[in-house]
Amino acid sequence: MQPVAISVDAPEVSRNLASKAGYTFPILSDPNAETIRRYHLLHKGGGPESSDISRPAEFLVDSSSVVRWVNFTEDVRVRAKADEMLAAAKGLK
Amino acid sequence: MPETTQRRRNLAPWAGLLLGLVAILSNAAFFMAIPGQRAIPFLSWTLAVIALVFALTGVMRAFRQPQVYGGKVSSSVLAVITILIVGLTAFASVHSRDLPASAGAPQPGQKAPDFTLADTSGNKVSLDQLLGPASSAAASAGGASPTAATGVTVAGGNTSVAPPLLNAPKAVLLIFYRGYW
Repeated sequence: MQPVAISVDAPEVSRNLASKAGYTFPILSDPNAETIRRYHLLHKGGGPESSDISRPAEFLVDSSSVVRWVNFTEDVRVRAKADEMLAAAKGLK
Repeated sequence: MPETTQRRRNLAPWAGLLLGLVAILSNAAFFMAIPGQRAIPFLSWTLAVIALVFALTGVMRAFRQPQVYGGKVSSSVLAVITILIVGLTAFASVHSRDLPASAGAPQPGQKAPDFTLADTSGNKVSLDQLLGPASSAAASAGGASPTAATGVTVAGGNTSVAPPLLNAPKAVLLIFYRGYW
């Protein structure tokens, strides 16, 4: 399973995050929140200075582009657990 | 004549303050890898309500039964502090849960919308590419040239398309996050 992170952050900001946190998976930039909108995840004014950002959400997508598992947290402080995501991924064969 | 009324320590305001502090500090538990994180917001609210009850009880006892309980000033001060802490806890909780409904987002069984976004090196990456060579036959947004499918990188600046990943993963986990890290 390949994790891919997406946010409105610019590539330089994400590069910083990746190197500081030691992430090796792709981190993609969606500065105009176009893809975020396409996924219906826009959180208007939810960021600093009322900027538009994404609400947190995870989608497990199989090789035919079909969504198999989603996680929409009701509370930004509660994170999706690694074991939940791995269990969902293991269900895909 | 000696006083016969029994004096009691007014501990309720202190209990209120303590519970209020636990309620607000429970936010730290979100950063720890512990099971049962989802229960924290509920626990926090419960503790906050109990803290308020204790704070008000302490103030009422001090003013209504001054011979038994002392601390009109101290209980009032502690109650104000407790109310402030509980207020902050409530604000943090409401703010963290103020999220859009996202009713139209893709659900299990639906197709994940395609996208082409820049990675940290400035290369354009599409969902098709991430899912592997088998599904990158369809042209991704932006008109990728057919040579991309054979793994040849198209030369030229920031618009070059990265070749498909060699070991095609069985699945991709898209993690949308708030950003502004």
